[in-house]
Amino acid sequence: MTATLPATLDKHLLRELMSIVGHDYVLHEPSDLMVFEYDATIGRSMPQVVVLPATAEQVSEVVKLAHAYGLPVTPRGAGTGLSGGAIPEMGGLVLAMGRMKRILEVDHQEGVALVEPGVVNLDLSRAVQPYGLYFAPDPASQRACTVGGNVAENAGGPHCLAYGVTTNHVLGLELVLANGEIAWVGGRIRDLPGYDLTGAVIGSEGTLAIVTKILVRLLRLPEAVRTLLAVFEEMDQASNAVSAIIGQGVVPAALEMMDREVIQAVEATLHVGFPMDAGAVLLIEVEGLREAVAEEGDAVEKICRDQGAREVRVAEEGPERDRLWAGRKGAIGALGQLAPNYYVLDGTVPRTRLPEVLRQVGRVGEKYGFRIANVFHAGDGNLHPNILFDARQPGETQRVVEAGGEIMRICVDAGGTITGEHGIGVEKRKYMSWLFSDDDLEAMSRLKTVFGAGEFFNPGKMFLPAQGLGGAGEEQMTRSTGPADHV
Amino acid sequence: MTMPPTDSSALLASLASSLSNRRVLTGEQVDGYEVDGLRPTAVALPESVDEVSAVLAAACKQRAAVVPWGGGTAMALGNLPRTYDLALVTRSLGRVLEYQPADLTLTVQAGITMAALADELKRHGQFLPLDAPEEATLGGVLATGTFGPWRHAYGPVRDWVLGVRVVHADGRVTKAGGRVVKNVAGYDMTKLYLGSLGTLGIVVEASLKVTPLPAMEETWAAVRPSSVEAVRLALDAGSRGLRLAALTVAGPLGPDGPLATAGLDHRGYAVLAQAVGIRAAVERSLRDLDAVAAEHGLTGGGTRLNGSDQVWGSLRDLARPTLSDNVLLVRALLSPRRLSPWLERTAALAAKTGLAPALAAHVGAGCVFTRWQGPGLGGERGRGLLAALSESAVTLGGAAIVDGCAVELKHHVDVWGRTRADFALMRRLKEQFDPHRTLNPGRFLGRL
Repeated sequence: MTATLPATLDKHLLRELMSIVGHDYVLHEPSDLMVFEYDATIGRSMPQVVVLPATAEQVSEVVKLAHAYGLPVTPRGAGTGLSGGAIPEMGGLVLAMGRMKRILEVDHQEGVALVEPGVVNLDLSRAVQPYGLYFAPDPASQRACTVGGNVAENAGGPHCLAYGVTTNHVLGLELVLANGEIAWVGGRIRDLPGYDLTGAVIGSEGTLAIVTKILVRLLRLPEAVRTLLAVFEEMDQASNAVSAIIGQGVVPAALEMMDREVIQAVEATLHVGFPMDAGAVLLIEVEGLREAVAEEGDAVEKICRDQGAREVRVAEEGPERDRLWAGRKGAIGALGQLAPNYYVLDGTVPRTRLPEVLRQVGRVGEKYGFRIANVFHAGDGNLHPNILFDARQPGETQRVVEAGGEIMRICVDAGGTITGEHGIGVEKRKYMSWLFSDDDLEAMSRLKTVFGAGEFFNPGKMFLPAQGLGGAGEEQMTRSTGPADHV
Repeated sequence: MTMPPTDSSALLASLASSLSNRRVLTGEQVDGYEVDGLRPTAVALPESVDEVSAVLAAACKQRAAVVPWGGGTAMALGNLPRTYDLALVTRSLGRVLEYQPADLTLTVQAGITMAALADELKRHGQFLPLDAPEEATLGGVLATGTFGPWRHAYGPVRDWVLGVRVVHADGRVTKAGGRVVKNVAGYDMTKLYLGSLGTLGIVVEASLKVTPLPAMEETWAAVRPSSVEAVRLALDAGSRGLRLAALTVAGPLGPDGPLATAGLDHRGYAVLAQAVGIRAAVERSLRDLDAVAAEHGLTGGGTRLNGSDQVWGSLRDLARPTLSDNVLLVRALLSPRRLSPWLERTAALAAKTGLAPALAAHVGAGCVFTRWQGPGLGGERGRGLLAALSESAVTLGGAAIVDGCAVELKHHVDVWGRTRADFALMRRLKEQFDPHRTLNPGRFLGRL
């Protein structure tokens, strides 16, 4: 597969694309393409052309056409991803799914909804709230990110501790395969015999098929919620409290940690009432039946105090709770206060290893001379160290990537993984061999063969070419500079 | 379709080079390892992942057909094997490899029995909420994707598995997923092996999520005269946001059955709910259940059951795969709102045939196990009944799967029901992962 768009075909291709989706929904001027060259990572790469389809049939036609022209296809939701998944690294055609944002059906009795991939995560939860339902995966970017993007990355969020990640909330998918065929996997009926193709596609980062409809499972809103903010002098105390809560048989709905750097950044920008002098805070939520929430909430509060919390604030439903969560969900954005750039990591470790792993992460920061701000899903052991840096300083980006690699290695050595919910995408693919043998990766390549996707959908993501999956080389990360190359 | 017969002496010779003699059974020693009446040439009892790998590689080279065998509790599942040369028994792989209770995760070899696993977890106040017979192996539970009453609150098998180690048909060993609760590195290969009946590879290790045992549990029951009325009550109870681990309609289980022993009217259909959690929450759930029952005309509310373990255990037994000339065990999978019409049609078929099937309907999952018992079900009578049940499930947008029947019946039907549009991808998957059809050939959906 070549990313080169032959100049002589250019006009024909554009005309044909326009005949499929309409003149206004094919973008090819460099100024229009620039907003499609990035996601929320530090990579950049321009597509040759961006197409905004409205239906699965249009996606199918576009895919067939792109295939005929030898043009790779990269699907894109809101571009909020944190691993480069939506960056068209090899150029080619970007399928921007933003027009496909209808909620097609809500069955409130059975708690399922059929949605298009461009539906914004939070919009779905808001739409079903009148029925007492919600969609459980809740990434911090949920005001912007799309359900299609959630499926591609198998996204998580704070409430995954109790309810699991995206794959636990999707029942079926409508797909457009590499040959343009439209096919359903999974569906309304649970536990049907056969291979779990839905599970295989979720988290495949847009490399196996284009998702055009998603059948999601909705959860019932709990009748009671209690949110606690436990304030600690030291991060170790907070880590120990996490282990103590889980170890005593309480599984909260969410159990989040923020360190001193994050607390200060959040408070400076969002003014949510976090104590500026704290070493760490835990944001903990218990929910369910009123009776259980009262007892579990009290138990969690006691454990935190036993572990040295100097203060535990308690909020029920309402503005106080919203304020605490605004602090958590706006935390990564608030880091802009501290440095021009930040690089967010996503390793997961066994919960009991948190204290020592956090200390090791701190030492990596010291070694490289970077401040590291931690805001993460402590209950799941899913770390988000944010390395703060200034990309304008020569060589600094490279050193940040090196420091990130060391932190990922620490997570792997602790028995964990390099990504808990953000995906491999571009910058983590060279570390896949830390987790998987050649045989493991070869088995994954057979899955790619099953879907006939080759290097057509989102080429280069997840695997290095040396790993036998034909991806791009690391140095090609920002290779494509857009249509000017080709016309 | 027939395959050239495998040269059994060549197979035995190559097995001998993989395993010591005492771990290869032949001749009369293979008694008890029949599948659908077929006897294997040999039974291999490997004791390590390397030995599983060596056995499979040898079998694959000889183009032998291998049936993975765990606790042997679900061997009645599936279509007739196309051929059957070797049983590969995983029971000797039963070690706990890593368990940190405070991590709520555990890594074990897949030959561990569900009883041994439950014992280990219970010592630390935890459990794995998958319904399976005690003597079943974890590997078997993962391969069959079995479920029961706990499906209601705890979801399917796939929600509890973090990663697996798999021996492929050619003997290669690969790992999928990991040991931590959140992990999106690479394709989620783990999902492929779960519920695949061992047709893509043999799971030899698994990392699992586990969960704290609830502080207490209480089983509540209310009896209704018909299955339809009972399901209506159950669906209503299920919509109230209560903390119920299980919500099942069961009946009739006979005058000597566990419902009768528990003091319930054995002629009716019982709504059974297992409330779990701390005492105050359980009491609250039971009060609310009583209120729901009252709305459905049971002014006295429901009953709290003593000896509920026996009742739940009997429902798991009811659904256990069975090979018998006198049994037809059908698992209907439906959207929950289609349960009532399906039960009405089932009642009509019962009246027509003069049989009184025992049923267990897990309403949240939309699953009904119906166990028909009577002479001649292995023959045309059973085929007619199954055709009617399948037709009724399919017209309601669902599916009917045969979990128990006579060998004879398997000659005529695909026990997994009809394939769907995604079957082309499934066939390609099987071709990629087991090109020589070494593993359980013919036994899975679409005779894969």
